[in-house]
Amino acid sequence: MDRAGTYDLEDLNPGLGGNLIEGKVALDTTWGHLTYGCLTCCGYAPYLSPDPGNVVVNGLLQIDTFGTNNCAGQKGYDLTGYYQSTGVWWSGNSAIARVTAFQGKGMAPGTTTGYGKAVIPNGDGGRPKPPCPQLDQLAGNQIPVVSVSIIQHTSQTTSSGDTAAAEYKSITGTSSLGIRTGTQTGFKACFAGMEFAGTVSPSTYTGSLELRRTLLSCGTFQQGNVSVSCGATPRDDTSSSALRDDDPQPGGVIYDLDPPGVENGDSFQSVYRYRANFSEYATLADGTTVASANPVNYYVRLSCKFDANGNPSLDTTVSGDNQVGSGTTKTTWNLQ
Amino acid sequence: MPRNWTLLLTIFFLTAVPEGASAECTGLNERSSTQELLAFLRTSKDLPRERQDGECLTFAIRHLEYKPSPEAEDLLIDYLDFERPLTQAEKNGFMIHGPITESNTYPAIGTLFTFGKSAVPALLSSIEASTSETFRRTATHTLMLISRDQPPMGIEYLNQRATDAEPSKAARLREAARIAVQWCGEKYKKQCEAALREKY
Repeated sequence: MDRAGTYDLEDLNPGLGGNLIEGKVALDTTWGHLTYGCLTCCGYAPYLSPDPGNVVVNGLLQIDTFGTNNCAGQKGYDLTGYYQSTGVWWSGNSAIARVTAFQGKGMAPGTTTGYGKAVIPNGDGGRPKPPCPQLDQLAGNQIPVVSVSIIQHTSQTTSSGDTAAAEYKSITGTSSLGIRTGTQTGFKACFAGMEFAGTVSPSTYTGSLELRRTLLSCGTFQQGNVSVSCGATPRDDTSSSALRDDDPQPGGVIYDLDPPGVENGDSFQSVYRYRANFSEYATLADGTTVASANPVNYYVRLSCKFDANGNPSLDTTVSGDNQVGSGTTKTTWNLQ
Repeated sequence: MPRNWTLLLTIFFLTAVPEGASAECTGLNERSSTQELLAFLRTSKDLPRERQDGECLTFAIRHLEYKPSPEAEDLLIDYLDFERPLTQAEKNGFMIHGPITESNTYPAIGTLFTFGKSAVPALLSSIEASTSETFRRTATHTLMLISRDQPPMGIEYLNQRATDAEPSKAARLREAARIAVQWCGEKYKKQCEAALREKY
């Protein structure tokens, strides 16, 4: 049996009790045939993960340490032990992100680099080098610290940079925002067309971000004042991704569109009244909430009647009805 | 997690809400891991529709946004014809959770959209293989959402695939390309129609 070949030997405790030296392989235990190895050093080039490590202001980022094997070129070797025993960590700009052992913390919007160095075996296997050199090796990762400032658009039209605008138009038949009626087939409706624009800082940020929404409270009524359950609140009311633009590039802005209201009603159940309070906020794609100046709290109230052909019109019998505004509204049928 | 815990959790998920009820999902929450969400979808897949927990399925599908993996992709494609239950207010015409549209009521469309172009090959395979018109339509809609920055590309994906496919599959792909034009929007409608006419 041929047992000659290449064997990987790893010093599990480098620097402790001397260096690992090559041994012999017994090829034939009957006749005592031994062969000598020719130990070469295969070290690691360290890297930090994730890179980039997206984090929000005041959020924490776990930083893991891995190495690429210098001989095999293979990534993913866990270097935690080297960093635990000899690691030194710092940030390129601690006003943006602080970096300590295996952790980053977002301090203010911007992008900086996290650094970690440790004494790690070096060597690419090119020639025998016992003992293996232990070198101070440095790794870094980009740390973008993100914030999003949200504004609400309730007039004019959807933004030109909003890639969800075509979906909004195909649903409602219009690009216009605000309290409106729609008469296109399948969407005979009274609705409050709204667009939220989240300006991302740093504007060069390339990860996905989401504008999400919570329904805080609501009241829905038919025949003017007959309550219809609108379900438990508060609850998540985030738009389908088809009505969102989660990619801040180009331009550093993300969007969310929503047309709350009443659709495809009938004259027998009219008047339909819709009252709701919402909160709009931003998150990273993993759901971590991004600190923005403030979540946008707003209300929608509208009343809608439908004629015998199903065509909608706004009902104006309740004072102060058919509005979108910041803050909250009462959710009773008569807004009292 | 030990195997018996997974089994217990699964039993809990499947019995937490009465059959057919339209209630909040109690078996999953914001802390549920990706593996738990996938396990729930996997376990529910073979149940008859009336025994599936629609609220929790919707929750699991929506919470897999931006968590692509080969398994998530396969499972979500299986759920492309899953229609979420409407709330009482929605049944009465109130747009409480957005407009009652295809992309809103079939939640797998939106989640697969967040996976981006990596989902395209699996979507094309599902379009050419499925005998369900609803399924092919939602898969095509997803493909067009993924291509929404350049909608004619979505049509080209379908046409290119049709050239190498056997006749029955090619017919499904070409039909999908024909209906895909509706998702091009006014801005790209002519380019999409031109892509539709292109011969491969």
